[in-house]
Amino acid sequence: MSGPEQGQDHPPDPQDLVEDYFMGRLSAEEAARLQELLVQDPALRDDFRHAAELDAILRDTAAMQAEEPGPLPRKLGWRPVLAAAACLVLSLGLFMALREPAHPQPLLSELRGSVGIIRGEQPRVAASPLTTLKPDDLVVLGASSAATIAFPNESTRLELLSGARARFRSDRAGKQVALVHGVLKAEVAKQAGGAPLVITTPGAKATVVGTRFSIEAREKKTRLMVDKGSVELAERAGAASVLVERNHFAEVREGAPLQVRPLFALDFSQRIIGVQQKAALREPKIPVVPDLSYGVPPSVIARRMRAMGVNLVMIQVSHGDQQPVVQFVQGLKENAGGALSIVLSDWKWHLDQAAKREELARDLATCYTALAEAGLDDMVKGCHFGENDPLDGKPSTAGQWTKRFDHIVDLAGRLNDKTGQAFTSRSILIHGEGSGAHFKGILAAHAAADFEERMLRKCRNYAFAFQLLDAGVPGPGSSVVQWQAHFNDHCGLDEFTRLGQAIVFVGSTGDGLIPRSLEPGFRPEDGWNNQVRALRKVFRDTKRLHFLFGPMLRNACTCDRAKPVLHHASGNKLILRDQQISDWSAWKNGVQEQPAPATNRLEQAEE
Amino acid sequence: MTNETDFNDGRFLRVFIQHEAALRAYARALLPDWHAVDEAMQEASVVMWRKVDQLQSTDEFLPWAKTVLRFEILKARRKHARDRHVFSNELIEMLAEEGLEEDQPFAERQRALASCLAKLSPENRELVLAPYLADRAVTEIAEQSGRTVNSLYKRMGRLRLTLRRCIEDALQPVPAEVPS
Repeated sequence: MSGPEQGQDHPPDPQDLVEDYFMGRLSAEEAARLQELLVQDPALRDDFRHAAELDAILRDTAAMQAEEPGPLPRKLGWRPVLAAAACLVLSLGLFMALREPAHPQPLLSELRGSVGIIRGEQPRVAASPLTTLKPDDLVVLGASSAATIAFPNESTRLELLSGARARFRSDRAGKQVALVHGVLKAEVAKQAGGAPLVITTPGAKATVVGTRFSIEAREKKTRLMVDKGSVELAERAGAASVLVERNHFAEVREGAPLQVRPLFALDFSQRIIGVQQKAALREPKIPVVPDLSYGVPPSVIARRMRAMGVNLVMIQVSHGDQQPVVQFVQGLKENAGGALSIVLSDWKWHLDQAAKREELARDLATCYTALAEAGLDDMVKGCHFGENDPLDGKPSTAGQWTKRFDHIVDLAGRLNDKTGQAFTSRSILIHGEGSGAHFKGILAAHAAADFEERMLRKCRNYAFAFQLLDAGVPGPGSSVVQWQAHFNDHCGLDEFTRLGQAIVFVGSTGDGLIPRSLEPGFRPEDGWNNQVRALRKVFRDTKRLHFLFGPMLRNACTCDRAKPVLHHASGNKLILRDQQISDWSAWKNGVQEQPAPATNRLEQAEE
Repeated sequence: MTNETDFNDGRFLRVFIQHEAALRAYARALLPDWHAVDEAMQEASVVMWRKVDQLQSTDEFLPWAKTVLRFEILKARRKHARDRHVFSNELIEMLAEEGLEEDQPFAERQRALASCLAKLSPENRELVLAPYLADRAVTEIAEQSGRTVNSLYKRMGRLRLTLRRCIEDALQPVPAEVPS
């Protein structure tokens, strides 16, 4: 055809009736006539459905045009589906009441647990997903609940956690959230000039232009933590205000000055590539390592870490003299500075006993305090609560995880009490159940324990740690496929995926990976390394990229022939252990993020 | 249920969004105006979200979602029974049943329309989109151009029909070349 403008005047015919129908221009008689024709003529019904599709696509196209500057007044308030398909949140807007075109209204996009809406003076009603929120709607969350609020046409996402209460509004002045109580995590797309997102709490007001942060409102305290960008925080009662920038936090509290302080948390959106180093070698006597560098100059260690791409060092703490740890961290700080983060690690069995939790908190706090007194606390980004009572290869249960969550929250509280609340602005790594390989039951327990909300009062963020120890076996001579199923089903990694939390593979301590496990082309007859190959596949397939593996170095000895010690110290040199380094690299390179396959035709069209 | 068919962790929204435009078009053929369509979509989406676990795979989503939507539309029709544009139940059932089959992926129609729209003059493009942009948009164009509203709607009807034919042409398979 030469173009779509070839149409000429012609008498009304069935096709005209069809188009007039979709333009709302039919008289009653014409409608009756069209109905008659449609019933009789299957081909006309096809045309009618195609006309409906045209109507739908034109409407979407008009909506897209309405988003662009133009002379026509704007009637529609959503972006069309072609654009929306590029982003999950965008298309939620197609549900919007279409009355506030330039100011897309907030809507509930994902709900978990008990989420209700109190509308004006009316009683609380259960909220439904994809509900557009009105300005006077108070969103109320019960225990073990979460609600995500999205805005059409942009990637802004606000997540309310258990117990929170808030109202949302969007108009010409911008987006407004009244956070009456509780925790709100936010990822805010860049807002239009002069129309920021403003969050008010009983005590404070935060003004956001585009950033990632969380804010917690309590009766006498508001705490704002910023991951990315910057947020202005002001007292509502007083005149003070501060600009809280990336990796910083500030609190408004009665009788206390408004100050900005740095956050020291790990960023789990960035890949963690780690090594381990030990300040103590074994239980139960736990002899202190007198020199964590084993005589190798820190500059050499730092240079080697840089070459490996290491950005995190997990240190198994000492229960005795802290000076070796302090010296080691001091050396790393002087030679690598901000390129490295430190995580302090320790573990105890029988954490159901308060005394054991107290011991574990004390040992971690002692190490942290020594580092803080040496001015090295800025290097410490978190701690790791390690393995606990073994499960002898059996799968974990929701009941066990519920208890573990209670213990973790209690532990974090004890640790904060002993460190001046230092870990409220840091990260906590939580080992899997038993010796680290078990996550079965975690999903139900996580929700039931209200863990997210409780834990985020104790730390900046948290993730889990997986260790390949005591995972159980699917059977003798199991294949890679059988091991994969074992990890997913028996160990619960499949279930863990639905938790949506980060996980770090801790391939360390000599109990995890055995050297040569990932050596290219290495295929022992009994397939003993199928386990590790399967695990790597599971991690790669689910894009779990974080890992740490080690120890980084130790003196040469016959004791660690089969352990993943990455380097031996020899005088002032590091001697690479080829098999172990090969495995480390095989994990690092083999668990890289792969480009995501296109998931649908619309996305392909967008590309 | 495997990960691929687990709709709990945002997967529902993704697959819903993938097919949302097609569902909306399906509803448009069965309901008299966009207001009714939006209401039906809102109701149906909540039902889909609650019942999505019935599905074994994402491939099943579109026909299943159309079935859910069809049921919600039949409910919605009761509200609009007095509307002069409402067709008989018999016709709606025919359109609903035949609409379950997708002759061409909806995304291809979207792309074809974009191409056809681009062939229109700016004036005609503005006209054909005007009713969706503002309630008085066509009237304003009529006032500015000195034409009557009726004549503009007639022109619009012709343009829409031509666009439809343009889309059908664009979706025709390219004939294989015959060697000479």
